[in-house]
Amino acid sequence: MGGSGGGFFSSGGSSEPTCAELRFRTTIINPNLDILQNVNIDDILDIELISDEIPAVITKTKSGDVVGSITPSEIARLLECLSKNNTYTATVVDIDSPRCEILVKHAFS
Amino acid sequence: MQHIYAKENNHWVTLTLPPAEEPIHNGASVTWGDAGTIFTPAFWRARYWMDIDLGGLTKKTYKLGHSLQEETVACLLGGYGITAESSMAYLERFKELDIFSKEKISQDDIWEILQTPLLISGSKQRYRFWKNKGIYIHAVLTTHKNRLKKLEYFKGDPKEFREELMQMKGIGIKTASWITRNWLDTNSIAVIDIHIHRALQLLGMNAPLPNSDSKYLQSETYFIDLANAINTSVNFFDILVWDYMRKFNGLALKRLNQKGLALPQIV
Repeated sequence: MGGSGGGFFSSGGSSEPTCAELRFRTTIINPNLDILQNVNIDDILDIELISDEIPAVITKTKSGDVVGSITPSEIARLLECLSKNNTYTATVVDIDSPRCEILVKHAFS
Repeated sequence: MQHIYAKENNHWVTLTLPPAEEPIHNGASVTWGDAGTIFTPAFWRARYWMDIDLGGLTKKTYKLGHSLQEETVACLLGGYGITAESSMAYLERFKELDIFSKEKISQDDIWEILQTPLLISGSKQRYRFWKNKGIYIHAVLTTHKNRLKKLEYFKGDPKEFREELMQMKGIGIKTASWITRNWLDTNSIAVIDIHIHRALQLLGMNAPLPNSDSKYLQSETYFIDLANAINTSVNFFDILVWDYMRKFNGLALKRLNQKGLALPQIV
């Protein structure tokens, strides 16, 4: 409650998933349409933190093309886990270009 | 334009935002930025849309108490780096002990409650600053009881309400803003704590560290202007930014360091 929203959102702490448990559905923001046209349901995408200078998480095809970025509600936890060298992948679960929904989970779960 | 997609009841919905390089309002030095880049106005607008608009959170209350007296105690229990988990646990303890309906309550009773450790996030913890906070809370439950009862039905300018609260010992402008925002559901007041201040700094706004009333009011103006410029409701936007910023704590500090901005002290 150090600030203004105590009790409004669910709190973090012990209820936070471990990095291995972290799993969520999200959508791709500002997708690159040229790349997205070659993406299909069930494709596996890589999840990558661009850099510390530009805090953004991107999705990439296996050939290294950037599909777009993601900012899920779990973004803070995802960044924390990525910075601890955890690896995540995303499975494309729905696509209706330019809209694309993915399921993100730990690469070894 | 930037396009954000989400699903609502299994149907695709779209939020369209201005291009990244466009200022958030005429004459503003801050641009929308990329919605995929954390800490940009576009990022905050997109998250507001997903969490608040689509998430239906506007129907949820951020009020912590059933009376203004309870609300005041709840907000007094927070701040100064005290975790949400700790202050909420002690608020629940006050409610369990029926403190708010007791006719007489001594200073020692309040101190005893605050000094008794509670199970918080899996470990027994005692409330920090039990002595000073205990004095302010006791005053709210005794000396200020009738004053708060009268204020409960206040219908005037929220800033006057805030001023009234600031007359009570231990209630500074931030705590008074917090109580006012919660109790009156107002958009003309913002709760500027360290997390909100950092968010403003990361946007490149020269909001001063809110360590005096005048600086607080300047930072509040920056925040309200931002919320209005990106078409959000000040009260919910404040809570949203606060929640993400506390989770981004390490990353936010790292970014501030990279930008060469001095680390502000907790207020």
